[in-house]
Amino acid sequence: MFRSTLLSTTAAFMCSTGLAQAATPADILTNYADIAQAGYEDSLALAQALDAAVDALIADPTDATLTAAKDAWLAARVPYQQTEAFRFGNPSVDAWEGKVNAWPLDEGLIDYVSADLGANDENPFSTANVIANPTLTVAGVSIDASEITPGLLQNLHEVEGIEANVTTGYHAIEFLLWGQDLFGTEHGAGKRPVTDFDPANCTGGNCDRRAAYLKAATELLITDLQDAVANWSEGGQGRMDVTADPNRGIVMAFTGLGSLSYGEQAGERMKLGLLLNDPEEEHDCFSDNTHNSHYFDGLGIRNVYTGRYVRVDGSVVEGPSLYDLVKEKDETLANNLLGDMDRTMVALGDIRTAAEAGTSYDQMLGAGHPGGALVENAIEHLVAQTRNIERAVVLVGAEGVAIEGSDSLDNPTAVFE
Amino acid sequence: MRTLATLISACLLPGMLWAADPQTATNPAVNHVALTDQVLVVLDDQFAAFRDDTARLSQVAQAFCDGTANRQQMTQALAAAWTAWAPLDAYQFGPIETQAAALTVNFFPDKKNFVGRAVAELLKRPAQEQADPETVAAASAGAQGLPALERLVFDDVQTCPALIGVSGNLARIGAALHDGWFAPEGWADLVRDAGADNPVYLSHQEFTRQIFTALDFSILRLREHRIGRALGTYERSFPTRAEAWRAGFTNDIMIAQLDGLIAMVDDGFSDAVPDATRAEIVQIARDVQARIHAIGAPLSEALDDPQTRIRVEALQPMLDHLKSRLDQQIGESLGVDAGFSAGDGD
Repeated sequence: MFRSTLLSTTAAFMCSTGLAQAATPADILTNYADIAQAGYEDSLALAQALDAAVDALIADPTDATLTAAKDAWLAARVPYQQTEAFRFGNPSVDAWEGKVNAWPLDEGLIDYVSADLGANDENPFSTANVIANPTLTVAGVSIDASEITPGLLQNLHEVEGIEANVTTGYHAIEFLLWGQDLFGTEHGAGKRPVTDFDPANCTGGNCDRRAAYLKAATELLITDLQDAVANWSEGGQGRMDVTADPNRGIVMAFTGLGSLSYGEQAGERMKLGLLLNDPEEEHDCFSDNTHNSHYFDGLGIRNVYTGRYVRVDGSVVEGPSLYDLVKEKDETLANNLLGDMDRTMVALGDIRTAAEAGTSYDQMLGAGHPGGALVENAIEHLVAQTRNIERAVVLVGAEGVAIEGSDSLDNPTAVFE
Repeated sequence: MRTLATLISACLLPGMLWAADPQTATNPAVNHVALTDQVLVVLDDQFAAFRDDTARLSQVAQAFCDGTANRQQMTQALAAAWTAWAPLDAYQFGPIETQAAALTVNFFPDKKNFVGRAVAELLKRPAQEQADPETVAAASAGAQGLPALERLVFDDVQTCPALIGVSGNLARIGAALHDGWFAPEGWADLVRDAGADNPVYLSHQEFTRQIFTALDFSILRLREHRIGRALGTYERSFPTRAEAWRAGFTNDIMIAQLDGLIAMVDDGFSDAVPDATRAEIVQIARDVQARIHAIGAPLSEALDDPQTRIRVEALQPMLDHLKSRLDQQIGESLGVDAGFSAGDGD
């Protein structure tokens, strides 16, 4: 009963995905790396578009140029979030990712915040305000911040080993463009006035330094994404790690899918906010774009499983997939997992639908809000798909060992350091 | 935690057959149906202890606020409930997951002072609402659990009557978790009914894997969250990141967590794992407990003194050794490897 329902549900999706290709692990991982490379290339291209929009904003700070910069940021999130499926299994990605998408952050380290919202008793830097202070003095330590450069932001990132000290990446830029969301669990995102970037009519103080920070953070994002593209290009470490040993690569790929689905997405990013009823606990909390960040995370997982990625220009990267590999060994499991992911996408789509219609994600986190059930439903589907991801790992991981084995890496445990 | 690390390691070791897959290398000596029953007995004991200790905590809180119990009795009741929770912290699936109890019972680690803010919000409510477990149950997870009670007892705030409301809600959770597992048609029945039509467990071996994963997760919680976050670096440690540092329960919680692991290995796996193997794992865990005792101070107070800090640092390689031997010895005996856990991710 359970399985037959799943099979009938997934059959329709299979027709449209071109999934039934013969697959070798090596071919699958080449396609996996190609999708990663394409995803980071798209992320880089849209970050460069964001940089151009930031230049326009700084040159002529108007509501129109601020809106254009925000729109560029929102677009840039679409490909990037889909690349998160390459985290948690690939060591080169895990070592790099915190530079671009660290969250949550104590934004008071970057700029002014509300007196009632933003201070963190556990973090002495939580209201250090780099933009307002050319010299930072925190806990007796003096830091020269007279010139705001990409290098300064790098040095301050996670300063003193405190994870919430985020000075770089998408969320730092998001905070600078939108400002704090002071609407709590009511509808409304951050409302930073464009005059915060206008030295001639400056609000919020230090407009030139704020513009310099925005520019430095955007430049740094581009540099970091260039590194990511190189990582997945021919000869890059990320590509080599997964393709050098197909058995290892297959398990790494599945590890990313399961870890993102369960511990990260369902747990840290969704359940936590729901149980805290805290609007600060949403991933894109300044822009109220969380419904999209969750949706595209889910889609990224499905992309990897099905071996298919729709690029930002409308072209498609596709090829042999993890689905194909599982299907060769256990067709029922392959289709059950695909059905799981399709249901997850419907559940994440429900959240997105409500949000696009005006009920933002932070409203859904409010106590007793009916949208909370949508979030809960998506969590349950993410947890459910993890069970079949785990079964797939058992199936293909173990058989890979039995068939081929490998001693191609000197230090296997370094994978998860 | 990268719980699939062992599998990947197995993939990389030449000539090593991974003994986890039912189709390739199942350990035929393991009766996973019988193992399930033994594991459930251990879980029943552990969840019943938490149910009973939270019920007692609620009674003592009421008496404390009535003036018929003293502060020492209150502290002891809180310590008992916290150490009863410590073994359950590993089992973040089933009723703990469906009831979201991992966060409501013990919101830890707390990276952004959510507990402090949630307690402050609770204390703004009328006294009658503070004392009402229903009100607490509808509040932020940060206000519902053991860390919230610790704030109420050890911070300079109005302790009563919120203490009654929070502990009453916690007693309700304690009972609901045990019922969720062991009432008719509870999770234990779902586990016993493992099979092709089961929505969660397609075989009893999958439950074995989940319990094994939970033990791995338990070691991660100790190493990374309970010790690592507070340890920081030699130049900068974070004493107030230690669990229950206000109450000074940190070390006892870690010891209780290891007691839970020992009970599962020694009793839950008694028929499936050879005596010598279980004895080795138990001894390693006992050694870790002895080293925790030997710190000589609460963890949060030991970090800034080089003489005691080094004793804290020494725990991490010991836990690495425990995990390594657990993965190799117990995993091989059970014929499973660790899967995904709530510890995956950032």
